[in-house]
Amino acid sequence: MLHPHLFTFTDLQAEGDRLKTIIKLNAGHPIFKGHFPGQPVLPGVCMMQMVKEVTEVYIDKKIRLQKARELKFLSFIDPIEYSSIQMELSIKTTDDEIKVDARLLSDTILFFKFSGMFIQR
Amino acid sequence: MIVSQDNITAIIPQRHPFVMIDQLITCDEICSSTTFHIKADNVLVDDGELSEAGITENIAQTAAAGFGCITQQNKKPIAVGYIAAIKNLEIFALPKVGETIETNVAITDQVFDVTIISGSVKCNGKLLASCEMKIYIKE
Repeated sequence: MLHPHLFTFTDLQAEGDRLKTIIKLNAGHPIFKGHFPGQPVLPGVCMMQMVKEVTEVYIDKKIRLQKARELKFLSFIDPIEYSSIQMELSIKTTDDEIKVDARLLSDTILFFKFSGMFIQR
Repeated sequence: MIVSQDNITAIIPQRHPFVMIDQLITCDEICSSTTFHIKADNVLVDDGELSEAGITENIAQTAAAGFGCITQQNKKPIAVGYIAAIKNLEIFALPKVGETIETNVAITDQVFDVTIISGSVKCNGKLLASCEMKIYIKE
């Protein structure tokens, strides 16, 4: 789990199938020592994992990513400059599939767009 | 084997604990392949399995090792690459701690500083994951 060592989230607000939360990044996490030395950037694959982990907490089920049609990484996230960012999600659950669209953003920058399908594990 | 685990960081910019490949097995201008043994203390292992993030990063670093190997042959410094987009990611199963995965990447297109690759991960001959990636290389 990347939560709660790499990131934490607070102030989870739900409105219909839409969800908002504030993400706090831990710039001291060892991942930033390796990605990259002296030049910390939140790895794109960790953004994808953060979407999964927030979804798991909200629906209270363990899930696995099965398909992602498109993931776009639009801007770098320096964990010192952007220690607090927002995540917006839309979660639609059917019998055994969980469709999630999500974005990571600040007030002025869109960092990440996610569209994927999870299955319950 | 072209590059052993001890020397793998000579051809990729990632460092411990975010190195998600062990050995570069084959490499040419188009294709690269790696192996990776999943250890319990990996930062992207979750519930005894390499996570979706881990398997996806493994594909990205297999591409990075391919670029790095060619760059090293041309005696140029190793560039940092970033994933700009991932398309059609499919994950059929995740590898368990103790298993070794084999990953193949092929460059399908290159436009200025953006390279498009297609990658797949297998374990004991069984397909675990595949995707296409757009990788931005910062010269």
